[in-house]
Amino acid sequence: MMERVIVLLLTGIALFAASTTRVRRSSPRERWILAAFGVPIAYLGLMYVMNGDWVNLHDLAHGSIGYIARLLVKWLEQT
Amino acid sequence: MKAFGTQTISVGQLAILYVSYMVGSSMINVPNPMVQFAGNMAWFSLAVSTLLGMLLLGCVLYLFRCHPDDVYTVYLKRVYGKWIAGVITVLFLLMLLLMFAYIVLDIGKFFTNTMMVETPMYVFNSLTVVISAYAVQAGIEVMARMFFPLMGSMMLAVAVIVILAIPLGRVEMLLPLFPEGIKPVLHGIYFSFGFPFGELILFSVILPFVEKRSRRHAGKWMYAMTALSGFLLLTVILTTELTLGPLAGDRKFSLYAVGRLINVGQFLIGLEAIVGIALIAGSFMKAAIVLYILNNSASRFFNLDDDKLLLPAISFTAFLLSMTMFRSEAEFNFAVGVVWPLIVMLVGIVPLVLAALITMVKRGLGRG
Repeated sequence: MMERVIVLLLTGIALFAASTTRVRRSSPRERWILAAFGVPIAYLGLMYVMNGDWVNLHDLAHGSIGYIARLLVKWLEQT
Repeated sequence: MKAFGTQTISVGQLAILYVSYMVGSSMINVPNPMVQFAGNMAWFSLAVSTLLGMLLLGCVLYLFRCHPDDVYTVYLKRVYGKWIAGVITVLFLLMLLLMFAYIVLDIGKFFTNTMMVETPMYVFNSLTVVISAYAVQAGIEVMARMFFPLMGSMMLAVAVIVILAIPLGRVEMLLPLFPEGIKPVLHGIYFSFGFPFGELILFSVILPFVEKRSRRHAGKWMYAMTALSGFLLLTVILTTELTLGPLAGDRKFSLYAVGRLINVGQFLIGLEAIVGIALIAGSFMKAAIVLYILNNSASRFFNLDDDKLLLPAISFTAFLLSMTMFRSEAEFNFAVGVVWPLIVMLVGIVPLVLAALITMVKRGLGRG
Protein backbone atom coordinates (compact mmCIF):
# COMPACT_ATOMS: atom_id res chain seq x y z
CA MET A 1 0.00 0.00 0.00
CA MET A 2 2.81 2.39 0.96
CA GLU A 3 4.51 1.67 -2.36
CA ARG A 4 1.35 2.67 -4.23
CA VAL A 5 0.97 5.89 -2.25
CA ILE A 6 4.56 6.83 -3.08
CA VAL A 7 3.97 6.06 -6.79
CA LEU A 8 0.90 8.30 -6.75
CA LEU A 9 2.73 11.13 -5.00
CA LEU A 10 5.77 11.02 -7.28
CA THR A 11 3.70 10.85 -10.47
CA GLY A 12 1.43 13.63 -9.22
CA ILE A 13 4.37 15.86 -8.36
CA ALA A 14 6.05 15.20 -11.72
CA LEU A 15 2.85 16.14 -13.56
CA PHE A 16 1.57 19.06 -11.52
CA ALA A 17 4.86 20.73 -10.55
CA ALA A 18 5.24 22.51 -13.88
CA SER A 19 1.77 24.01 -13.82
CA THR A 20 1.59 25.73 -10.44
CA THR A 21 2.02 29.17 -12.04
CA ARG A 22 -0.72 28.36 -14.56
CA VAL A 23 -3.12 27.54 -11.74
CA ARG A 24 -2.23 30.76 -9.94
CA ARG A 25 -2.89 32.77 -13.13
CA SER A 26 -6.20 31.05 -13.89
CA SER A 27 -9.68 32.50 -13.31
CA PRO A 28 -12.00 31.18 -10.54
CA ARG A 29 -14.14 29.44 -13.19
CA GLU A 30 -11.08 27.61 -14.56
CA ARG A 31 -10.06 26.63 -11.04
CA TRP A 32 -13.50 25.09 -10.47
CA ILE A 33 -13.20 23.07 -13.66
CA LEU A 34 -9.74 21.91 -12.58
CA ALA A 35 -11.07 21.04 -9.12
CA ALA A 36 -13.82 18.92 -10.72
CA PHE A 37 -11.10 16.62 -12.02
CA GLY A 38 -10.33 15.92 -8.36
CA VAL A 39 -13.40 13.65 -8.19
CA PRO A 40 -12.28 11.00 -10.71
CA ILE A 41 -8.69 11.36 -9.49
CA ALA A 42 -9.73 10.75 -5.87
CA TYR A 43 -11.91 7.78 -6.85
CA LEU A 44 -9.30 6.14 -9.07
CA GLY A 45 -6.49 7.01 -6.64
CA LEU A 46 -8.33 5.32 -3.78
CA MET A 47 -9.11 2.37 -6.01
CA TYR A 48 -5.43 2.04 -6.89
CA VAL A 49 -4.14 2.42 -3.33
CA MET A 50 -6.75 0.01 -1.89
CA ASN A 51 -6.23 -2.37 -4.85
CA GLY A 52 -10.02 -2.38 -5.22
CA ASP A 53 -12.03 -3.93 -8.01
CA TRP A 54 -14.58 -1.14 -8.36
CA VAL A 55 -16.51 0.16 -11.36
CA ASN A 56 -14.20 1.77 -13.90
CA LEU A 57 -14.52 3.68 -17.18
CA HIS A 58 -14.05 0.58 -19.35
CA ASP A 59 -16.81 -1.19 -17.37
CA LEU A 60 -19.22 1.52 -18.50
CA ALA A 61 -18.15 0.99 -22.12
CA HIS A 62 -18.38 -2.79 -21.80
CA GLY A 63 -21.77 -2.59 -20.10
CA SER A 64 -23.25 -0.57 -22.96
CA ILE A 65 -21.44 -0.94 -26.29
CA GLY A 66 -19.72 -4.14 -25.15
CA TYR A 67 -22.94 -6.15 -25.36
CA ILE A 68 -23.50 -5.30 -29.05
CA ALA A 69 -19.78 -5.82 -29.78
CA ARG A 70 -19.89 -9.26 -28.17
CA LEU A 71 -22.90 -10.28 -30.30
CA LEU A 72 -21.28 -8.97 -33.45
CA VAL A 73 -17.97 -10.74 -32.84
CA LYS A 74 -19.75 -13.96 -31.86
CA TRP A 75 -21.55 -13.89 -35.19
CA LEU A 76 -18.32 -13.20 -37.05
CA GLU A 77 -16.63 -16.12 -35.29
CA GLN A 78 -19.31 -18.62 -36.40
CA THR A 79 -18.02 -20.42 -39.46
CA MET B 1 5.49 29.62 -26.33
CA LYS B 2 2.75 30.78 -28.66
CA ALA B 3 -0.76 31.38 -27.39
CA PHE B 4 -3.70 28.98 -27.58
CA GLY B 5 -4.60 28.03 -31.14
CA THR B 6 -1.88 30.00 -32.91
CA GLN B 7 0.78 27.30 -33.16
CA THR B 8 1.10 26.02 -36.69
CA ILE B 9 2.75 23.08 -38.42
CA SER B 10 3.79 22.59 -42.02
CA VAL B 11 2.10 20.00 -44.18
CA GLY B 12 5.27 17.84 -43.99
CA GLN B 13 5.11 17.93 -40.20
CA LEU B 14 1.43 16.97 -40.40
CA ALA B 15 2.45 13.96 -42.47
CA ILE B 16 5.05 12.93 -39.87
CA LEU B 17 2.53 13.24 -37.04
CA TYR B 18 -0.08 11.37 -39.03
CA VAL B 19 2.07 8.42 -40.00
CA SER B 20 3.50 8.19 -36.45
CA TYR B 21 -0.04 8.13 -35.14
CA MET B 22 -1.30 5.55 -37.65
CA VAL B 23 1.51 3.01 -37.41
CA GLY B 24 2.91 3.93 -33.97
CA SER B 25 1.28 1.36 -31.74
CA SER B 26 -0.47 -0.64 -34.46
CA MET B 27 2.78 -2.16 -35.77
CA ILE B 28 3.22 -3.84 -32.42
CA ASN B 29 -0.43 -4.73 -31.78
CA VAL B 30 -2.16 -5.34 -35.10
CA PRO B 31 -0.39 -8.39 -36.64
CA ASN B 32 -1.16 -10.86 -33.83
CA PRO B 33 -4.95 -10.31 -33.52
CA MET B 34 -5.32 -9.89 -37.29
CA VAL B 35 -3.84 -13.33 -37.95
CA GLN B 36 -5.89 -14.71 -35.06
CA PHE B 37 -9.14 -13.34 -36.54
CA ALA B 38 -8.60 -13.55 -40.29
CA GLY B 39 -5.96 -16.31 -40.52
CA ASN B 40 -4.23 -16.49 -43.91
CA MET B 41 -6.40 -13.66 -45.21
CA ALA B 42 -5.24 -11.07 -42.65
CA TRP B 43 -3.44 -9.17 -45.44
CA PHE B 44 -6.68 -8.94 -47.43
CA SER B 45 -8.67 -7.64 -44.44
CA LEU B 46 -6.03 -4.99 -43.88
CA ALA B 47 -6.07 -3.93 -47.54
CA VAL B 48 -9.87 -3.51 -47.41
CA SER B 49 -9.59 -1.53 -44.14
CA THR B 50 -7.03 0.76 -45.77
CA LEU B 51 -9.48 1.51 -48.59
CA LEU B 52 -12.27 2.14 -46.06
CA GLY B 53 -9.86 4.42 -44.21
CA MET B 54 -9.37 6.42 -47.42
CA LEU B 55 -13.16 6.88 -47.73
CA LEU B 56 -13.34 8.05 -44.12
CA LEU B 57 -10.45 10.42 -44.75
CA GLY B 58 -12.53 11.89 -47.59
CA CYS B 59 -15.22 12.84 -45.02
CA VAL B 60 -12.62 14.33 -42.66
CA LEU B 61 -11.10 16.43 -45.45
CA TYR B 62 -14.51 17.52 -46.74
CA LEU B 63 -15.44 18.86 -43.28
CA PHE B 64 -12.03 20.52 -43.05
CA ARG B 65 -12.61 22.27 -46.39
CA CYS B 66 -16.05 23.44 -45.19
CA HIS B 67 -14.82 24.60 -41.75
CA PRO B 68 -11.09 25.30 -42.27
CA ASP B 69 -10.46 27.21 -39.04
CA ASP B 70 -12.68 25.25 -36.66
CA VAL B 71 -11.61 22.20 -34.71
CA TYR B 72 -13.78 19.10 -34.66
CA THR B 73 -15.73 19.95 -31.49
CA VAL B 74 -16.50 23.47 -32.74
CA TYR B 75 -17.94 22.41 -36.08
CA LEU B 76 -19.92 19.64 -34.39
CA LYS B 77 -21.66 22.48 -32.52
CA ARG B 78 -22.41 24.23 -35.82
CA VAL B 79 -23.78 21.09 -37.42
CA TYR B 80 -25.73 19.47 -34.56
CA GLY B 81 -26.46 22.41 -32.27
CA LYS B 82 -25.20 23.02 -28.75
CA TRP B 83 -26.82 20.15 -26.81
CA ILE B 84 -26.38 17.22 -29.20
CA ALA B 85 -22.83 18.38 -29.93
CA GLY B 86 -22.21 18.58 -26.16
CA VAL B 87 -23.23 14.94 -25.68
CA ILE B 88 -21.14 13.81 -28.66
CA THR B 89 -18.13 15.78 -27.39
CA VAL B 90 -18.34 14.31 -23.87
CA LEU B 91 -18.44 10.79 -25.34
CA PHE B 92 -15.57 11.75 -27.68
CA LEU B 93 -13.47 12.98 -24.73
CA LEU B 94 -14.18 9.78 -22.76
CA MET B 95 -13.17 7.74 -25.80
CA LEU B 96 -9.90 9.66 -26.04
CA LEU B 97 -9.23 9.20 -22.32
CA LEU B 98 -9.81 5.47 -22.68
CA MET B 99 -7.61 5.38 -25.78
CA PHE B 100 -4.72 7.16 -24.06
CA ALA B 101 -4.99 4.86 -21.04
CA TYR B 102 -5.02 1.78 -23.32
CA ILE B 103 -1.86 2.93 -25.13
CA VAL B 104 -0.07 3.62 -21.83
CA LEU B 105 -1.16 0.25 -20.48
CA ASP B 106 -0.06 -1.42 -23.69
CA ILE B 107 3.46 0.01 -23.39
CA GLY B 108 3.62 -1.25 -19.79
CA LYS B 109 2.36 -4.67 -20.82
CA PHE B 110 4.84 -4.89 -23.69
CA PHE B 111 7.78 -4.19 -21.35
CA THR B 112 6.60 -6.47 -18.54
CA ASN B 113 5.82 -9.33 -20.97
CA THR B 114 8.99 -9.20 -23.03
CA MET B 115 12.00 -7.12 -22.07
CA MET B 116 11.82 -6.23 -18.37
CA VAL B 117 9.58 -8.82 -16.79
CA GLU B 118 10.54 -8.15 -13.17
CA THR B 119 10.06 -4.38 -13.20
CA PRO B 120 6.68 -3.21 -11.87
CA MET B 121 4.33 -1.86 -14.53
CA TYR B 122 3.83 1.47 -12.77
CA VAL B 123 7.41 2.43 -13.65
CA PHE B 124 6.63 2.28 -17.39
CA ASN B 125 3.12 3.69 -17.13
CA SER B 126 4.13 6.69 -15.04
CA LEU B 127 7.17 7.46 -17.21
CA THR B 128 5.10 7.24 -20.40
CA VAL B 129 2.40 9.54 -19.00
CA VAL B 130 4.87 12.10 -17.62
CA ILE B 131 6.99 12.22 -20.80
CA SER B 132 3.88 12.45 -23.01
CA ALA B 133 2.54 15.29 -20.84
CA TYR B 134 5.81 17.22 -21.15
CA ALA B 135 5.83 16.64 -24.93
CA VAL B 136 2.30 18.05 -25.16
CA GLN B 137 3.30 20.94 -22.91
CA ALA B 138 6.03 21.81 -25.43
CA GLY B 139 3.44 22.15 -28.20
CA ILE B 140 2.53 20.61 -31.53
CA GLU B 141 5.45 22.16 -33.44
CA VAL B 142 8.00 20.67 -31.05
CA MET B 143 6.26 17.31 -31.16
CA ALA B 144 6.30 17.28 -34.95
CA ARG B 145 10.03 18.13 -35.03
CA MET B 146 10.87 15.60 -32.30
CA PHE B 147 8.93 12.76 -33.95
CA PHE B 148 10.85 12.96 -37.22
CA PRO B 149 14.03 11.20 -35.93
CA LEU B 150 11.96 8.87 -33.74
CA MET B 151 9.84 7.85 -36.71
CA GLY B 152 12.95 7.47 -38.88
CA SER B 153 14.62 5.16 -36.37
CA MET B 154 11.45 3.13 -35.99
CA MET B 155 11.13 2.68 -39.76
CA LEU B 156 14.78 1.74 -40.04
CA ALA B 157 14.52 -0.91 -37.32
CA VAL B 158 11.38 -2.40 -38.83
CA ALA B 159 12.91 -2.36 -42.33
CA VAL B 160 16.02 -4.19 -41.04
CA ILE B 161 13.87 -6.87 -39.38
CA VAL B 162 11.68 -7.30 -42.46
CA ILE B 163 14.70 -7.62 -44.78
CA LEU B 164 16.51 -10.06 -42.49
CA ALA B 165 13.33 -12.10 -42.05
CA ILE B 166 12.88 -12.62 -45.82
CA PRO B 167 15.05 -15.81 -45.91
CA LEU B 168 12.94 -17.27 -43.08
CA GLY B 169 9.65 -16.77 -44.94
CA ARG B 170 7.69 -19.50 -46.74
CA VAL B 171 5.08 -18.41 -49.29
CA GLU B 172 2.96 -21.55 -48.77
CA MET B 173 2.06 -20.15 -45.33
CA LEU B 174 -0.37 -17.81 -47.11
CA LEU B 175 -2.34 -20.68 -48.62
CA PRO B 176 -5.14 -21.70 -48.84
CA LEU B 177 -7.07 -18.51 -49.60
CA PHE B 178 -10.41 -18.03 -47.80
CA PRO B 179 -10.09 -21.36 -45.95
CA GLU B 180 -13.08 -20.66 -43.68
CA GLY B 181 -15.17 -18.42 -45.89
CA ILE B 182 -15.76 -14.68 -45.69
CA LYS B 183 -16.58 -14.24 -41.99
CA PRO B 184 -12.98 -14.36 -40.67
CA VAL B 185 -12.08 -11.73 -43.29
CA LEU B 186 -14.97 -9.54 -42.09
CA HIS B 187 -13.76 -10.05 -38.52
CA GLY B 188 -10.31 -8.85 -39.56
CA ILE B 189 -11.85 -5.82 -41.27
CA TYR B 190 -13.95 -5.06 -38.16
CA PHE B 191 -10.81 -5.06 -36.02
CA SER B 192 -8.41 -3.24 -38.34
CA PHE B 193 -10.92 -0.61 -39.42
CA GLY B 194 -11.55 0.23 -35.74
CA PHE B 195 -7.83 0.12 -34.94
CA PRO B 196 -6.03 2.01 -36.49
CA PHE B 197 -7.89 3.25 -39.62
CA GLY B 198 -11.09 4.45 -37.92
CA GLU B 199 -8.97 6.39 -35.45
CA LEU B 200 -7.83 8.75 -38.23
CA ILE B 201 -10.91 10.88 -37.51
CA LEU B 202 -9.00 12.31 -34.53
CA PHE B 203 -6.88 14.23 -37.02
CA SER B 204 -9.87 16.52 -37.52
CA VAL B 205 -8.56 18.19 -34.37
CA ILE B 206 -5.01 18.59 -35.74
CA LEU B 207 -5.84 19.78 -39.29
CA PRO B 208 -6.65 23.42 -38.34
CA PHE B 209 -3.06 23.74 -37.05
CA VAL B 210 -1.66 23.38 -40.59
CA GLU B 211 -0.27 26.66 -41.98
CA LYS B 212 -2.79 28.42 -44.20
CA ARG B 213 -0.46 28.65 -47.22
CA SER B 214 0.14 24.88 -47.38
CA ARG B 215 -3.38 23.69 -46.53
CA ARG B 216 -4.34 22.88 -50.10
CA HIS B 217 -1.69 20.13 -50.12
CA ALA B 218 -2.88 18.60 -46.83
CA GLY B 219 -5.37 16.25 -48.51
CA LYS B 220 -2.82 14.81 -50.93
CA TRP B 221 -0.34 14.22 -48.11
CA MET B 222 -2.88 12.57 -45.88
CA TYR B 223 -4.06 10.21 -48.63
CA ALA B 224 -0.44 9.34 -49.39
CA MET B 225 0.33 8.75 -45.70
CA THR B 226 -2.78 6.58 -45.27
CA ALA B 227 -1.59 4.47 -48.20
CA LEU B 228 1.93 4.35 -46.67
CA SER B 229 0.50 3.29 -43.28
CA GLY B 230 -1.52 0.56 -44.98
CA PHE B 231 1.55 -0.58 -46.91
CA LEU B 232 3.72 -0.68 -43.75
CA LEU B 233 1.14 -2.63 -41.78
CA LEU B 234 0.62 -4.97 -44.71
CA THR B 235 4.38 -5.59 -44.89
CA VAL B 236 4.56 -6.33 -41.17
CA ILE B 237 1.55 -8.69 -41.32
CA LEU B 238 2.91 -10.53 -44.36
CA THR B 239 6.33 -10.84 -42.70
CA THR B 240 4.88 -12.33 -39.52
CA GLU B 241 2.56 -14.65 -41.48
CA LEU B 242 5.31 -15.86 -43.80
CA THR B 243 7.79 -16.33 -40.96
CA LEU B 244 5.67 -17.67 -38.13
CA GLY B 245 2.79 -19.20 -40.09
CA PRO B 246 -0.30 -20.05 -38.01
CA LEU B 247 1.76 -19.36 -34.85
CA ALA B 248 1.61 -15.63 -35.70
CA GLY B 249 -1.91 -15.62 -34.26
CA ASP B 250 -0.75 -17.09 -30.95
CA ARG B 251 2.44 -15.11 -30.42
CA LYS B 252 1.75 -11.81 -28.72
CA PHE B 253 3.80 -8.92 -30.20
CA SER B 254 4.56 -11.04 -33.28
CA LEU B 255 7.08 -8.64 -34.87
CA TYR B 256 9.13 -8.92 -31.68
CA ALA B 257 8.87 -12.72 -32.03
CA VAL B 258 10.13 -12.45 -35.63
CA GLY B 259 13.11 -10.40 -34.37
CA ARG B 260 13.97 -13.28 -32.02
CA LEU B 261 14.19 -15.74 -34.90
CA ILE B 262 16.77 -13.75 -36.83
CA ASN B 263 20.23 -15.24 -36.67
CA VAL B 264 22.73 -14.15 -39.30
CA GLY B 265 26.00 -16.14 -39.26
CA GLN B 266 25.80 -16.77 -35.50
CA PHE B 267 26.83 -13.19 -34.79
CA LEU B 268 23.84 -11.01 -35.70
CA ILE B 269 21.38 -12.15 -33.04
CA GLY B 270 19.25 -10.53 -30.33
CA LEU B 271 17.74 -8.02 -32.74
CA GLU B 272 14.46 -8.16 -30.87
CA ALA B 273 15.78 -5.54 -28.43
CA ILE B 274 16.12 -3.02 -31.28
CA VAL B 275 12.64 -3.86 -32.49
CA GLY B 276 11.34 -3.47 -28.95
CA ILE B 277 12.84 0.00 -28.57
CA ALA B 278 11.53 1.08 -31.98
CA LEU B 279 8.05 -0.22 -31.24
CA ILE B 280 7.97 1.53 -27.88
CA ALA B 281 9.02 4.77 -29.59
CA GLY B 282 6.06 4.31 -31.95
CA SER B 283 3.60 3.73 -29.13
CA PHE B 284 4.96 6.74 -27.24
CA MET B 285 4.43 8.98 -30.29
CA LYS B 286 0.85 7.81 -30.60
CA ALA B 287 0.28 8.32 -26.87
CA ALA B 288 1.60 11.89 -27.06
CA ILE B 289 -0.55 12.75 -30.10
CA VAL B 290 -3.69 11.33 -28.47
CA LEU B 291 -2.95 13.25 -25.27
CA TYR B 292 -2.50 16.44 -27.32
CA ILE B 293 -5.86 15.91 -29.06
CA LEU B 294 -7.57 15.05 -25.78
CA ASN B 295 -6.17 18.09 -23.98
CA ASN B 296 -6.96 20.43 -26.87
CA SER B 297 -10.52 19.15 -27.28
CA ALA B 298 -11.18 19.33 -23.51
CA SER B 299 -9.85 22.91 -23.34
CA ARG B 300 -12.11 23.95 -26.24
CA PHE B 301 -15.07 22.15 -24.72
CA PHE B 302 -14.67 23.92 -21.36
CA ASN B 303 -13.83 27.16 -23.17
CA LEU B 304 -10.60 27.77 -21.22
CA ASP B 305 -8.20 30.66 -21.78
CA ASP B 306 -5.18 28.48 -21.03
CA ASP B 307 -5.09 25.32 -23.13
CA LYS B 308 -2.52 23.59 -20.88
CA LEU B 309 -4.31 24.08 -17.58
CA LEU B 310 -6.08 20.70 -17.61
CA LEU B 311 -3.11 18.75 -19.00
CA PRO B 312 -1.71 17.46 -15.66
CA ALA B 313 -5.18 16.50 -14.38
CA ILE B 314 -6.05 14.65 -17.59
CA SER B 315 -2.68 12.89 -17.63
CA PHE B 316 -2.97 11.88 -13.98
CA THR B 317 -6.49 10.51 -14.52
CA ALA B 318 -5.25 8.48 -17.50
CA PHE B 319 -2.31 7.15 -15.45
CA LEU B 320 -4.70 6.02 -12.72
CA LEU B 321 -7.00 4.45 -15.30
CA SER B 322 -4.10 2.52 -16.78
CA MET B 323 -3.20 1.20 -13.32
CA THR B 324 -6.70 0.20 -12.25
CA MET B 325 -8.56 -0.93 -15.37
CA PHE B 326 -7.82 -4.58 -16.00
CA ARG B 327 -7.30 -7.52 -13.69
CA SER B 328 -6.27 -9.98 -16.39
CA GLU B 329 -4.68 -10.08 -19.83
CA ALA B 330 -7.86 -11.66 -21.28
CA GLU B 331 -9.94 -8.68 -20.11
CA PHE B 332 -7.58 -6.27 -21.88
CA ASN B 333 -7.61 -8.35 -25.07
CA PHE B 334 -11.41 -8.37 -25.01
CA ALA B 335 -11.49 -4.59 -24.54
CA VAL B 336 -9.10 -3.90 -27.43
CA GLY B 337 -10.09 -6.69 -29.82
CA VAL B 338 -13.86 -6.77 -29.36
CA VAL B 339 -15.19 -3.55 -27.82
CA TRP B 340 -12.74 -0.87 -28.96
CA PRO B 341 -13.47 -1.06 -32.74
CA LEU B 342 -17.19 -0.57 -32.06
CA ILE B 343 -16.49 2.35 -29.69
CA VAL B 344 -14.47 4.04 -32.45
CA MET B 345 -17.24 3.41 -34.98
CA LEU B 346 -20.14 4.59 -32.81
CA VAL B 347 -18.51 7.47 -30.94
CA GLY B 348 -16.01 8.64 -33.56
CA ILE B 349 -17.01 7.65 -37.07
CA VAL B 350 -20.84 7.82 -37.05
CA PRO B 351 -21.08 11.46 -35.77
CA LEU B 352 -18.38 12.56 -38.22
CA VAL B 353 -19.92 10.89 -41.27
CA LEU B 354 -23.38 12.23 -40.31
CA ALA B 355 -21.88 15.71 -39.88
CA ALA B 356 -20.35 15.46 -43.36
CA LEU B 357 -23.70 14.35 -44.86
CA ILE B 358 -25.65 17.12 -43.07
CA THR B 359 -23.11 19.73 -44.20
CA MET B 360 -23.32 18.42 -47.76
CA VAL B 361 -27.14 18.61 -47.77
CA LYS B 362 -27.10 22.09 -46.19
CA ARG B 363 -24.63 23.35 -48.75
CA GLY B 364 -26.68 21.74 -51.51
CA LEU B 365 -29.69 23.70 -50.27
CA GLY B 366 -27.58 26.86 -50.05
CA ARG B 367 -27.75 27.10 -46.24
CA GLY B 368 -24.28 25.87 -45.33
